[in-house]
Amino acid sequence: MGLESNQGTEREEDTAVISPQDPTLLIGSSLLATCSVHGDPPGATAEGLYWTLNGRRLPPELSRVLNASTLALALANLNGSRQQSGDNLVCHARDGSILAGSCLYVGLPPEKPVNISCWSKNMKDLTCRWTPGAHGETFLHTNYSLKYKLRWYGQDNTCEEYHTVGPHSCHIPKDLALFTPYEIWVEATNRLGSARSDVLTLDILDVVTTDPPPDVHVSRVGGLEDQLSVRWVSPPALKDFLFQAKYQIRYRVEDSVDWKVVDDVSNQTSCRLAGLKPGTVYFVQVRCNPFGIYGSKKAGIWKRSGPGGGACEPRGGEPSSGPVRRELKQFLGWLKKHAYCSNLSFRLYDQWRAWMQKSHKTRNQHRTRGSCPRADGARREVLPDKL
Amino acid sequence: LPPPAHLCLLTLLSPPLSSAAPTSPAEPISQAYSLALYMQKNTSMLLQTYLQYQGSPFSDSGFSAPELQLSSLPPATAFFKTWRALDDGERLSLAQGAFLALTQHLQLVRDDQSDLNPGSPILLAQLGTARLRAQGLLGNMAAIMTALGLPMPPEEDTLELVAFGASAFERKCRGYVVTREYGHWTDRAVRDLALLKAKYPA
Repeated sequence: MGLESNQGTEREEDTAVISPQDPTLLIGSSLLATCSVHGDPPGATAEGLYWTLNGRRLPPELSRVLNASTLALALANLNGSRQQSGDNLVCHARDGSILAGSCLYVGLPPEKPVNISCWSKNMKDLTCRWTPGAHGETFLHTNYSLKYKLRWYGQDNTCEEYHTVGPHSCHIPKDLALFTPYEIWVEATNRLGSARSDVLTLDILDVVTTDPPPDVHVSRVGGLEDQLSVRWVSPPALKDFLFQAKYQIRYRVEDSVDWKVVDDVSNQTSCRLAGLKPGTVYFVQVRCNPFGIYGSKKAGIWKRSGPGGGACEPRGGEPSSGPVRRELKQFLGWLKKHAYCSNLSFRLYDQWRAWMQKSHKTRNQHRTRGSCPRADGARREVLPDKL
Repeated sequence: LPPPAHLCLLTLLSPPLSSAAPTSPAEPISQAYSLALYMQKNTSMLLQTYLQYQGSPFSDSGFSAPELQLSSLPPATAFFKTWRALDDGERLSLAQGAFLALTQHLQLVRDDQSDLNPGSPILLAQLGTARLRAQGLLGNMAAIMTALGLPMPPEEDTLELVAFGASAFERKCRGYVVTREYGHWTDRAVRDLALLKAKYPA
């Protein structure tokens, strides 16, 4: 091919060769290199030549003229390579022009990759993620390969779709068996060696999980200041599943790290959270856990909503959590005293609560008569009696 | 329709009968010129991006190593008088030869870089795009030659086998020379095509 170095306009073409070419070295090791010049016409000399490493001129005491046409270099205690394409060690002519070069690859062998975790979202594919085992960098380009095989039979397979959920991940799209264990591991290789992670054994069914429910909305409940309504949509993948789903909600106040969890949301797609601090920002998440004979032990993935918050109550049924029950008792007590209502409904309850909160604020205890709204919006005086 | 008008319509519909005279080269020259101008806008970015990925001294600001050359790439520089006096055939033939060599070298550099700098999609994409544009320009120049009735130069393999054994440093240098010369030849193509544009106005 002829990569040449033309010295100005003179006919003579000096070429040089550095040895070794492209060496791979451990961090901290030493290197002895030579730059040999071949002049045409002969007479080229090693006098005046100098070395640079990554653009910086090396101190003259590291160089030595070996013979008329060879300049030597002794480097000790090498640092890790500055770029993955290799450190540039260059031999320059007296006028600064490049005569020859060699790329140095200095680094460490890879460490065992760790923390392999895998999941399947549809019982047909598998996505895995791992962490490179590194107490810091290896300085060399490291190649990762995810491998898998049936535990008791068959050959090793290699995953081919990388970087699907981050830099250290791989996706196996098909040809996976259910109800039988797989062995999965990751191999890391670079110029200095390779390392293999521990083997993870799993059955695809054990790691089936669901995407979070889409469209989680949290909203206030009318004028109430300590309740929120959470609504979501059932994840579309659910209809293909062989198992059912149970939802879970968790919520926390903005500046806290402690989540409160509402476990038993069964398969409704809405929930009311109560007993919250008024005037605070809450974060709410909803997730869908697989459940049933084919259900896995792996929990679903949380889906965030915007700031909002609350704890769940089933609509129209018996309120089960503590604070609501207490309040309901208060309400009924108040009703007994002050009003008579044939239609006891949550709507009435909400109105009462909103009114209670307002009156609390103004520090006025209004002992007025309550009234029951009728379906047509007209109000009717309430007489104490039936309750 | 009255007969004379009918005849007129027929004449308009039938193509010109002459096949010996070449078609006007103005259109393909104009297209090639636009493409070369467009390519010229990106050549320095390609060179800079390439150098960034090779590390120092290549990535140092203002890096220049004119002493590095490739014998498999024709030089873009020429004496002005000689260049000005080239006839159409020679002018286009030299440019074609250069861009043909460049498409092959750009492919080689891209392959080298996917090995030296794996995981650098921006650089690889730019090298790929440069090669495609060079190929486009080759097509446009072929159209000009056809329009001028000139013979097409044969397509040659410009890379010798010895290119495959290059060391990492040699490959870095090679890519520098290729991206540099791609810029020089694009600048020259703009000048060549401007001359032709003036010579064969639309």
